[in-house]
Amino acid sequence: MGNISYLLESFIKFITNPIILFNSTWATLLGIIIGALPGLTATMGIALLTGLTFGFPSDLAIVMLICMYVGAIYGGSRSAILINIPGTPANAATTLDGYPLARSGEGAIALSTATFASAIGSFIGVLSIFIFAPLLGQIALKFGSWEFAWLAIFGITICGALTAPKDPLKGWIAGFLGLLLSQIGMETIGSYPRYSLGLLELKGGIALIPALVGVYGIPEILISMRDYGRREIVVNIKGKALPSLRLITKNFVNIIRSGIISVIIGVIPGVGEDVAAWVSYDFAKRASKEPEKFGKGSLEGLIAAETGNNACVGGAIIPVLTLAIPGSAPAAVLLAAMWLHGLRPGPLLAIENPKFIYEAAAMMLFATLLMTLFGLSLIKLFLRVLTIDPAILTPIIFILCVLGVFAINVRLFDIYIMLFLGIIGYFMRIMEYPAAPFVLGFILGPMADENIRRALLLTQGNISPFFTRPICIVLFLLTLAIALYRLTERRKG
Amino acid sequence: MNKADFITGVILCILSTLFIIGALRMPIDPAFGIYGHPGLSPIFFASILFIFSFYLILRSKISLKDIKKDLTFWKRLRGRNDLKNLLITLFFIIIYIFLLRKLPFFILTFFFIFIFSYTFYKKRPLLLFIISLLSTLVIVTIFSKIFLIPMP
Amino acid sequence: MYIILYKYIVYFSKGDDPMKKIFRLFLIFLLFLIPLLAAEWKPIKPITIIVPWSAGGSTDLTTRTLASEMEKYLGQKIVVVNTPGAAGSIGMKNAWDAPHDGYTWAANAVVDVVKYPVLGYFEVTHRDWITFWVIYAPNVICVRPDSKYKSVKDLVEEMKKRPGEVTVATAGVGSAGHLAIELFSIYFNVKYRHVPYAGGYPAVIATVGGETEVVTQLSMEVAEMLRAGKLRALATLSGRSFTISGYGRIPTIRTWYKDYPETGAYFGIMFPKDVPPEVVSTVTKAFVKAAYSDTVKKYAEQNGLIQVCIYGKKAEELNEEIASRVCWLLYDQGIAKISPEKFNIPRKK
Repeated sequence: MGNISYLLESFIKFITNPIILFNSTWATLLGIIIGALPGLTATMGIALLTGLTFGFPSDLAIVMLICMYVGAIYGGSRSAILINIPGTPANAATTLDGYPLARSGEGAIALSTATFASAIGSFIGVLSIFIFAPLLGQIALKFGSWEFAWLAIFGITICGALTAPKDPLKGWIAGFLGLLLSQIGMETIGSYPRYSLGLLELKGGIALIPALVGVYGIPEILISMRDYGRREIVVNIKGKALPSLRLITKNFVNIIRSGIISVIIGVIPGVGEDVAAWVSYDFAKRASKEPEKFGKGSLEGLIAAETGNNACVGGAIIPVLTLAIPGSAPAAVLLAAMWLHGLRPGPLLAIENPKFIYEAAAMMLFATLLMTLFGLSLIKLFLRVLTIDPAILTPIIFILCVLGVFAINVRLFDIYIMLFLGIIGYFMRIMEYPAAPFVLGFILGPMADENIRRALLLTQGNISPFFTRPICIVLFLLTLAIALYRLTERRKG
Repeated sequence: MNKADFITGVILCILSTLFIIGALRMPIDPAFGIYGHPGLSPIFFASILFIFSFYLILRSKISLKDIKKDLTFWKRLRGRNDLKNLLITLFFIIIYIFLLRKLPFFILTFFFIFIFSYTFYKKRPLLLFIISLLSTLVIVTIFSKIFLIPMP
Repeated sequence: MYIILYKYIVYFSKGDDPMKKIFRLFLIFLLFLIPLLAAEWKPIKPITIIVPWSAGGSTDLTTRTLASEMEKYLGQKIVVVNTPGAAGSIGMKNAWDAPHDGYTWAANAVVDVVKYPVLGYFEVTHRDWITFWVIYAPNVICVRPDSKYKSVKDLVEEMKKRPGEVTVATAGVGSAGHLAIELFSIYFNVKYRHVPYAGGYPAVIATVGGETEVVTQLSMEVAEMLRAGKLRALATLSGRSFTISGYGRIPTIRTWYKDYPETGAYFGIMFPKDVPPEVVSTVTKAFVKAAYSDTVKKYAEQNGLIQVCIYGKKAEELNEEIASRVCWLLYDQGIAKISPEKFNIPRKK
């Protein structure tokens, strides 16, 4: 009970302190904007804000960084729904159902549902920090190369059939093409530059963000201009701004399931919000009564993806607090920022400063509150984007894509890669190859490559740990079950 | 669509073969032995891609008998106007990327937005002028002053 | 220049003519201005530091801490940009390709800067940069607390008993941890099994989790796990013993092996040698002040690091010494394909 009162006490402290309230407000807003701009990710946003808040007192700075984190992961859903370009990799699954909803004039409901789903997801994250932090933290240490290898294989088995209901073969091709292209560049084990053709730039490989913005952004730009004048502009932006209570209760199981899956994925080091959203989406589709609606504007799918990526934030913060191990890329920067501010999260936190965990939960709760408030109040403004003539909107989106890609590594080469993959992406789009498995391949490729080889290296080719370690058994059975389920499903179909 | 599938299949088969050849030519690092071979994963991914693409070719050929002339792929570009729009857009973005760093970012971006929108919108140039100027100004300010990102 | 000015001032001060008075004032004003013009560099726009590694790593943390202090003395914002890829060579190349006007710096560890040319990544050698080293991070040999290795001797014996089977986690080929264990294996003439990870922290976590037996990464990467009792330090490979607050003293390997060649990593900032001279002098001043600031000291103390302040001639000597050791080691082990001779790097006796 003492813990709850401490949580509430910190929470009230945040709300009533005008300095914290003011600074967190702009941090959240900036987070939403960074998230919504294609290419600019939560990781970048936190790194940026770390620089800006260097001189601030540490508790204020950390609260702002958490606001930025939550805001950016949420903000990415705005552009995913409105212009079919995910703002951050975490929101790629949101485009599948969000954009069809927006095109069919239900943009308002899509945006507000996504907001609520994100809020509930964050809240699940807060709860898991509050209740399970010490318990879940231990999972992070249980993940060795073998477990990561299974996780990558598991990801690959869901990636193909995920978004190509009409023609799974094309989904698989897109997925494996992504996996293959992700192998370009210097690999982790022996630092050998694969397929670099002697170019230094190619040694660095193809980064995720140029690939993401390339295959989502450029085809969208080309198609919206190709169809210029034929595609009608959505003028009617009215509609209910709040999702009905029935929608929430109907999706109760969906929300809880996505939340739990994503918190666990968040805890696992190095696997972040993007994977969490995909896995939640896949499970929701599998469990759904109307799986045929997925990909055509299903609110269920939208809720699963958005609950997933925001719940993952809480999960990713847990190992930061309990073990000083970041659960995802943005969490790694958050951890670094805590270090810079002289905070020592990690195993000693429970002894030295046990209240900090509850304070962090309160920070998350506070960030969630701000995100929800701004999210809902900005819906009307965001919807106006749909009414802008594409002739004016498209060039601006293109500039934002270019700058977003440039900002990640400050390399012109990334912009060329974006253009190149964008043109490939256009052909993929018109020939109905889904972009999602392609991007997922980029996320999973390096992970699979590095961990499978390292696992073999550790045992000199003995594969028994793949089937004897406890978490491995679970992941193996899960992968097998999904693969078999796929096969029987196809036989039926 | 099948014709397109056939061509894609062939291209992907060649691509994956090239990747496999490249992978086989990679050296084995003596420190790690065969399990650390850099080509291991690319060979695996490329082989599966090859199998899938080969299946794509087979599948398209079988149904090629049924549909002799398959033009759905090009039919998607309904009429010449679509193709024209597409090529203009592509032309603009390639020129823009080509000119990055060769011209000052602000001027380049302003002209890009203005010319792009005027080519398609075709009316109210003054309004477009103001919009381009304002949006360039806002973008440059936000990125360089708030996000502190060096401009290309 | 000063003398001429002084003469004019004396000459003009003789008269009471108002024109002369004004002129005199003007000349005195000039007198004050000259040192400013000659030696001071006033940055007029933000300075960019390119960190060629991901945000949150050792180089990134060190650079951000140092930059926050240097900002105060330079009177300009310093922007830290992360450009990871190809073992840091892409970021270094970006920094080199930017105008050499003092507004773009790079940040890196000395072991990385010297190895790029022999690995064929990037032709610019350590001699083309002016370097400022602020942090020294010693390598620490760590094992799990329940490990059977109680001392360096145990470890060496086990490596002799099972050649090539004791697993050692590092941050990858050519990383500080890898170079340290390579040197270790040459010194004791033993074989180990190298297990590379995507960074220092993942390598440490793998050892904590029990996937690998030993980790040889830098002190800052193991400090937190040592404090928590999740790792145990056998020795530091640096020449001197040092203390990690909250853990205790880590003995140097020289306690037992007197002539062990020390390893460790120096972190700091650098810019091309041909920047305007006033930039060098101004930055040096700001660097020295920042390096001795409380912020940097506190940062070093908390992370199990040693604060240093090496620049100018001393830094050049240090770079040469490390270059000859690291480059030849990489070349002899067959990791580097280009001979250090090509870059006139002599072999150290």
